[in-house]
Amino acid sequence: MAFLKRSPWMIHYDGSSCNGCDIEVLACLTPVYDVERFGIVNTGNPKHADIFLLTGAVNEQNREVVRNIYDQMPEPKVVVAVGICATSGGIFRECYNILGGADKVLPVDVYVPGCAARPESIIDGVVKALAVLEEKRRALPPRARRGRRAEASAQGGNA
Amino acid sequence: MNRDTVRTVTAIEPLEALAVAQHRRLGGWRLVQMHGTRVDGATEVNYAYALDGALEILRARVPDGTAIPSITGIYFAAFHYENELQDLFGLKVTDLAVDYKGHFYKLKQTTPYRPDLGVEGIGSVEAPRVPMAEDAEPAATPRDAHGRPVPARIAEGITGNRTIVPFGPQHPVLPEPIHLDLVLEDEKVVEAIPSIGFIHRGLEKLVEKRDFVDYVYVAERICGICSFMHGMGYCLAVENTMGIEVPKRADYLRTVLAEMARIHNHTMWLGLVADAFGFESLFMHSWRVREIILDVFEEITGGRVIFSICRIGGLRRDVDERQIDLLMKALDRIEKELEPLVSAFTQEYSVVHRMTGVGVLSKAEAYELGALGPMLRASGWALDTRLLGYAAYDDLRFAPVVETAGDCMARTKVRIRETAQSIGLIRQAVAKLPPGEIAAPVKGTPNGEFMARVEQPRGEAIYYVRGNGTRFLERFRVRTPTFANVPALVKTLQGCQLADVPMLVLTIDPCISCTER
Repeated sequence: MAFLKRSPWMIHYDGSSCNGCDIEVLACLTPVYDVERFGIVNTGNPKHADIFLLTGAVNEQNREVVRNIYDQMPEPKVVVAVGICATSGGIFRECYNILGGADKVLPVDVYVPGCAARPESIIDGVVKALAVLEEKRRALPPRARRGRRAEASAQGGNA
Repeated sequence: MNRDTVRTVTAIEPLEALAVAQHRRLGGWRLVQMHGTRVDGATEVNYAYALDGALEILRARVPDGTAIPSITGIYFAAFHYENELQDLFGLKVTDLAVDYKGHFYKLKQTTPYRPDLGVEGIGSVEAPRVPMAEDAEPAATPRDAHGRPVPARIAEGITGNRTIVPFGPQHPVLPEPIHLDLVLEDEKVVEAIPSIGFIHRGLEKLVEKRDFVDYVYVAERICGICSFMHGMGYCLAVENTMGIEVPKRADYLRTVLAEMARIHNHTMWLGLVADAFGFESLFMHSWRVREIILDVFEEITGGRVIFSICRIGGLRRDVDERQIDLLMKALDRIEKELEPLVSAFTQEYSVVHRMTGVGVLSKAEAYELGALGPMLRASGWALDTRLLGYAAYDDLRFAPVVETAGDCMARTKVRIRETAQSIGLIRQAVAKLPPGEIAAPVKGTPNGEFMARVEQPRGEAIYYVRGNGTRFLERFRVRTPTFANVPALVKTLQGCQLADVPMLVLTIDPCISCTER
């Protein structure tokens, strides 16, 4: 198993959410849910991140910001759309400044429903995203594949 | 019932606004908010001023194609209301102190309240004024990375050791996006220019497409942190428009839930500010305490952050004995567990060192810049909207929490003491909780207008509704406390060190999704 899967780092960006999902994302990291004990770290730097958690719908002003964060993340990377707004625009889909869900701008791998999404479902979404991350890692050309060395040594080979 | 009864609506001429503003300012009135409403072929600009319990609305009817004078020379805090009018209503405002020239919000649809203006926006509206030399825009307007114009005075000031450091929208310390252009002289911040609009949804206009009863759920989602109070504020405004008398029990339960939301908000804020000055274990512990109140919310309403319990006329669910018992136990636990945190915040050397004397807002500045809530009270003003006596606050005994230092420490202390105050208020309200119905029937449709004021954890919020006798409201307007606190933030940032910026941004308790709606 790849080391990446064991300690993924995530970055969170608030698209145009009402804050409900954002504080639930943070609640996942703090005591009670505490995913940090599994090595999941909320980083502020896109270049450190493996998983992109996007809350809220995308609008005209933040589409470039969202795209920019995504582009800066190294491969392999996964996008998790947290909450119904990031999924489809939710209750705000008819507002004049809403473009729609996160998939209008980014390739979304996992959708987490809910308004607001509960910490349990966010954690579940991230766990599902880890499987996608592993799949993407395997699909990368061998030279770019991170964890190649660890994998080889785990199999007893000489890397 | 609401004691906030002294409210007048006066019609004025658009050009009178300046003289009126001057007069109100001399009289010590506070500019509460400004908003526009479309009425056949004209934009109605409303200026709301408050002094103690009195609320006055001055209404100017501005025919399309004419401009209005800016009152930013008198009330600097008006700049974002006026920029909003420019962006959403395509109304030209002349002599704006900080003019974003239609780029305050970057919208998918320009001037959404004036779809007839098309893509040209405010450019097509001529100001009825003799053009002056300084009005002429330079051939190439300096622009920032987002294509928004940088005010000339800033672009010119970038000489020698001055630099602009962009802060946000994505920044490790910010849970929500806000962008600041910080003009630095070495490490010292000389000026900070905020740009907002990253999470502008335009939910005020959604009121035209949603039944007024269903809109409560949209109003709740203005912000997921004070969601209960947003729902309640909207309901208060509609109930007052329709003359619905809310049952006493619902009033008391609303008060209890609102104070629970305040405890939730303040404990969460304590964590966030600890995170901003790099004290991670304090952040974790504050959020652990916050979970206690969330468990009670979940028990009573079924939701952790969005509750959907408020409805027009009262509440959707009653509270039983067992839930009250859980709440009381939770309050005891919070009180006990908060104690060591409070001593860490007020006595721990590194925390005291980081917060004392940083970001001082003087008493006069706080009032003039229209600061609200803990920000205002930390500078020595005993202003609290709860004193107006909406919901059950009239029957409860409390006094506004006031600190005088006006620095980050004072703001922290205000919030810590308010948490204790909220615990006390809940105990009082539960002790007096009357039996009976929890909701009054809703008959008919809203016709008329009302401006409700609610004290949120961050300060006073305004909910304005105007109905026209149909199921769909004509106008809904919410002015949230963070929106009003932005000018004060800009002021405190001037002269601070770059390293203090994250903490100063946090001490206004910014709620950007409230601000931008």
